[in-house]
Amino acid sequence: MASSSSSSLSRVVVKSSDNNLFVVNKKVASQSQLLKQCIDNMEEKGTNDVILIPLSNVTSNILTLVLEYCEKHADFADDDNNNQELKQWDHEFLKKFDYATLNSLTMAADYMVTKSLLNLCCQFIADSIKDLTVQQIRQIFDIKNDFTPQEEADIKNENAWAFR
Amino acid sequence: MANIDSLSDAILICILSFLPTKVAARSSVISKRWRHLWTGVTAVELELQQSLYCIILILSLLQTCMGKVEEVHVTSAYFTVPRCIFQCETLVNLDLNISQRCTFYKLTTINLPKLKLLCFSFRGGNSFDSIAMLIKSCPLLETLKMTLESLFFHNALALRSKLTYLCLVDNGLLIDFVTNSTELDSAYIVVTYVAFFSDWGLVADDVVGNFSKFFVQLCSIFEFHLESNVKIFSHMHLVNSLPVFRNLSSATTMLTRRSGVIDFLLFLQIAPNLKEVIVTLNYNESNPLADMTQSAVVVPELLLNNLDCVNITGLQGNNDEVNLLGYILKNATVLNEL
Repeated sequence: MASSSSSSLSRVVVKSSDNNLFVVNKKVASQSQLLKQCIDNMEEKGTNDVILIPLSNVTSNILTLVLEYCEKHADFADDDNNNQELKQWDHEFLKKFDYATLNSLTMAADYMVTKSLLNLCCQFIADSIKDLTVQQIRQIFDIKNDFTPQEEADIKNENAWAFR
Repeated sequence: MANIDSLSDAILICILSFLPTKVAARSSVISKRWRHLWTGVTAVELELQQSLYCIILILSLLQTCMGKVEEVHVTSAYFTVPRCIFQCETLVNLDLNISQRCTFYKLTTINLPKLKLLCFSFRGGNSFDSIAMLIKSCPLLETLKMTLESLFFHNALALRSKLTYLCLVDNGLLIDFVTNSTELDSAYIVVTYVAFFSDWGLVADDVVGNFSKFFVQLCSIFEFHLESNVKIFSHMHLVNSLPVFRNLSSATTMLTRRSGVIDFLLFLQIAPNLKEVIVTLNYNESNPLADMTQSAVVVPELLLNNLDCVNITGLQGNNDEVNLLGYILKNATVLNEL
């Protein structure tokens, strides 16, 4: 049946923090709850204009990646048979990035409320730090140890079961 | 250098939730910011070695995390499930993978409004009431996996109506289920009847009767796996109460006795829409089977019309098997793969 509602949008324009514009079709944009909410709100108001959604926290290069992810997942949205293929793609997708990109991507996924991408990033980071020592984690992520040796020993003692 | 500290607490907690809880807990010494982050995890995954110590541990752990935990996975040889688990309103998945002995305290109140997956094994003891109460008290339960051994069931176990997947491994065949589950679409059943239970005053007929009642209630399922030393369909055939598995499209079975073949053929007759069958033969009997094709009564000719894939492994190449194959080939009109 042809859509009778005149207020149905097919595309939105998303603006990155460095003022680049991305034209995104609705199905792809809907992978992000933030964008979906904006679209739904506009449709409710019955507007016919193309809407512009500014994302003040996401740079163009990260937004490109998020949209690449959304596009792939929108393609697979109606098809659960290719789950395995999609998982493989997800893994290859994240493998390319260094921690800095991964961090920004995680934050963008959180900000844009793309739950599956957020979980994917968190899982990926978790897997990559799983076998590291505390000292290695501090080094890799440049975290300053602000405990005194005594405090650190106390905490280890308190959670002794975890350090065996 | 990437600074993971630029991520928000919520994201860090999300990352920690993907780690085994033991690893997550180690993050408490990274820095002051990380000191208590791990106690916010939404998933608890524990692999326990020393039993006594662990009960204390998980008690304190769960009390810290309470109100946020959505998943609990425990792998251990021995485990006593702390009461606080059954009060966890946010819990969605509870997976207790206990190889030796799992004990429940006597449960008085259960508050698991969101639980969808419940998976546990239970060997020995007399915790039936607790288990029955637990299953009854989870309104949204969709997946139930139970391994039961030597457990005495006094009353029927009532299954919830939202249940879609039931996995039951019962090595006592004492189960008496009442399912009012209309949405059940897949069942994995392994039941072994152990003769010594008859010493307790349980006559085999009662048990088989219970078992058949249970089967009748399963007849809406789409996928079915069955392993049992009880010739359940032969029994049901005798008392004329064979149900029809109208929706069933995929079935797998393991036959451990030669006489199971007849039972299986009976089963094929009551599954008119079956498309795929996988049979594993695993027996070492040397007595030849009585004329099988005769015992198999009515030829389910029409009923096999939809079958297009049969997979049989474990063939030993004797006459009975040739008979069975011949029988299937003769009757399965649209068979594609054998």
